[in-house]
Amino acid sequence: MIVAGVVVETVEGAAARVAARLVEVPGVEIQGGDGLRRLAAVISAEDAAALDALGRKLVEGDEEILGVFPTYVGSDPEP
Amino acid sequence: MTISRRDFLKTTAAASALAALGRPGLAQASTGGTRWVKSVCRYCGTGCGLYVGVEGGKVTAVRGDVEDHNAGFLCVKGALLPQILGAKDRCLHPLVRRGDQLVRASWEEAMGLIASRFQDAIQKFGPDAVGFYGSGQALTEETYVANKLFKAGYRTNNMDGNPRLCMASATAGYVGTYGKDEPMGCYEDLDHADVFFITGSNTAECHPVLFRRIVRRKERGRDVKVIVLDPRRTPTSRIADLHISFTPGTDLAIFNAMAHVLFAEGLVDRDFLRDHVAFGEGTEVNRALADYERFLQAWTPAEAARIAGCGAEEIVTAARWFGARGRRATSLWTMGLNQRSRGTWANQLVHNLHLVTGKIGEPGSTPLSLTGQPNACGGVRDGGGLSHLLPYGRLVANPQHREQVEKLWSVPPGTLSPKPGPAAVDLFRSVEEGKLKCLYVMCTNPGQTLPNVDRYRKAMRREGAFLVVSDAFHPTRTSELADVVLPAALWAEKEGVYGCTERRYQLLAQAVEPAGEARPDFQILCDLARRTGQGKLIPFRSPDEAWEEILALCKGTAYDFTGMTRARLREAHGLLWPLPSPGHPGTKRRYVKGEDPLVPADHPRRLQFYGRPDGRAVVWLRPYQPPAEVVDAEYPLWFNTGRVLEHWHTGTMTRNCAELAQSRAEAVAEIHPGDAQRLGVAEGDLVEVTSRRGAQRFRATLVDGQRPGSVFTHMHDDQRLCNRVTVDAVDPISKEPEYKICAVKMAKVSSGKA
Repeated sequence: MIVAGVVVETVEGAAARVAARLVEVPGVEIQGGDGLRRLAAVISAEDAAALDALGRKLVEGDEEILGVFPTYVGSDPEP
Repeated sequence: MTISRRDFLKTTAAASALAALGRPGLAQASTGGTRWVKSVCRYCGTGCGLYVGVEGGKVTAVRGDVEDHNAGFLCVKGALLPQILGAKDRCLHPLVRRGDQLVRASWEEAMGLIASRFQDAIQKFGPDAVGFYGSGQALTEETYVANKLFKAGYRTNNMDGNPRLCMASATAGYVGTYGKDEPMGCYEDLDHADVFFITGSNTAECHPVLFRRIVRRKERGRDVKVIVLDPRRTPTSRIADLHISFTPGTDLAIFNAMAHVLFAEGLVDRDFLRDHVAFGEGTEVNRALADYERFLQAWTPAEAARIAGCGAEEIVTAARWFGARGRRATSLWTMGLNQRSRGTWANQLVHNLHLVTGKIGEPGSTPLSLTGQPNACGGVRDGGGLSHLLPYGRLVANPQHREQVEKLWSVPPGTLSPKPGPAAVDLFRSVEEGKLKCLYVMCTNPGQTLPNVDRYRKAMRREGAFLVVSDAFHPTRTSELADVVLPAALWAEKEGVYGCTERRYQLLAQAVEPAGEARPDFQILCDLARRTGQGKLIPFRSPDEAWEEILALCKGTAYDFTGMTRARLREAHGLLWPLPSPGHPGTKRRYVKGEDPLVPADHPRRLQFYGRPDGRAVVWLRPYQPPAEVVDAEYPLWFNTGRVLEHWHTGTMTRNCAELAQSRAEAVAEIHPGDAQRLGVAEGDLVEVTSRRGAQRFRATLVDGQRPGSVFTHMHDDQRLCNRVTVDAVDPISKEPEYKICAVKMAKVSSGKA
């Protein structure tokens, strides 16, 4: 199990729309935002590829996301 | 109340993300059983501060340092650093070659063998029979010991390193223009710029935390413009107001045309030119402003556009935005400019734009070269760990500099050789020619990274060559060629200083014990010194002791950081030199009167470029010259190599991380759909990319942002070596290879559906 804190950077005005999409993603918990274009989220998944899945698939697949920046990653030996 | 470890991790993760948004009070993590040790990211040259979380003697977590320049942010690579320490291919004990095999050995056996082979070679063939190839990833103290041992102990300047492959042209650009290496600006300039001129840099992927800062400035500033100059459309282009794609290698023409427009439209600062600038051509500073204006007359936007295959209006727009009065301009570049056979010129032409407009040395206006490795600046460029350098701005070829260093090192006059040693590619050619018998490679992977790599892989396995590789991982594409492999401690397993892009020095504290039998390179080199009779020259018992000597070496130079005591480095979240006394706050912008300690507040000019005798920076007259190899009928495609977000250099670290290994670890050949159609190539097909030097097979991927007529692949894959294809031509000034441009052909091998 891996748990990551990330900041999702969006284009201006898109934070709410991106947040709405992210809450549909299993293992993603939106923690808040700056009200403009950044979201704080926690990702937890049995398979640590979830972090990469956000970083890569969302950036490549969502034109409104400019980047996903981890601020913390911790691991739990329990699955 | 107790919380589970899972809850603790989630709370900590949320707290760190919210803190990065400036909302730290919304979630607070329990301290749990984690001990947090202050450190710095192991990857790129941004130098992000972070804390290493240790539990039970193991690194279990990292979190960004909110008090450092990165404000708590990390990129995906940095955030996953804990996983590299326990990777399955960590090198855990020494190995020595027995025939075709590398077999386990004791430290005593391995070090004894190295010492005897090096001593024998020096005795039989002279000092230049041995050499060292270091790294911009080694700690400052490690490079310092190697430099002193080889140059003063073994008396050879066969001492170079991988910064030659990435930053040498930036160095030559700075030295040629300002007389001293290293940027004058800082990251804080990103918060003030009105115009970003990003050229030869995919900042979004290669320096993502700095890219985030640019995005923030674009959001908050008034009409902030981003110009991206890159043959490819990359993720960096997403925030561009103007993206200029051009034929590889022709940006020199574009830079000159921008300068043409600046003069033609009255956007130059003639007072600044009068007070701060000299003009040069060739190697001499012997021209005048009028010569430069005449030189630029030929470089019309139309002429540059004809050469570069871009729009003349794009060049005009870029120049107008860059030169607009009252608007601050910051240039950012990296390997797209540096890894070129005219990389030094390309660097200097960017400096020209700042000098003719006077947009330099004030918040938001600076030419800021982004660095590729975490300690290329601090350890190697500043520390003098290249074949022509001595520590802190001194040169091997300068008798006064040699005398200074000989005194500081307490060695007899004449100890230091006056002849610069071979630069990286030539160092390996010396191995190929049999002149260099014993080579010590530390913390780097030339068996994968050298251009035209198969040629030099053969040299490293040549009969009579003795190759030592010290690395945290094995096998690598270099350690597999070695006669002795030494297990090196990695990142959080040792202590030392890193110096990043903006002259920021930071201390990495040791957080855990080294894995297996691994030892810090500092300790290994000190051991080698003792075994080869250089114990008096290298008497250090700890990196702290070496640092004390390093402070003496920098004192009184333009690099002076004598105020960076070990105690202060432990407390600080990064310090920028010059910092010449314990109470000095550090220097955000060099050469600025009243800010740089070497330029007093009452200096008559705004800036004093004290690296040059006349205190003036040099605008160089540099014409366009084509790359070393251009496309033709036989090899009709341009080949370009680079990085991707998730991976770093030869992948020995990132490909050891489960998450990152699943993402883009395989190098693929990116081509434009139009080229693919013409070549009969579909997505996923296996193709062979061939140059005059070699061939490599890749899966093809079709990318709209790829410039037609060109191929891109990343450099991180140890099974698909892009450097079998690249050219080993070098810049005549910096000696940096032209990784970014060569000519290739592509042929389909098999269908992806097969």
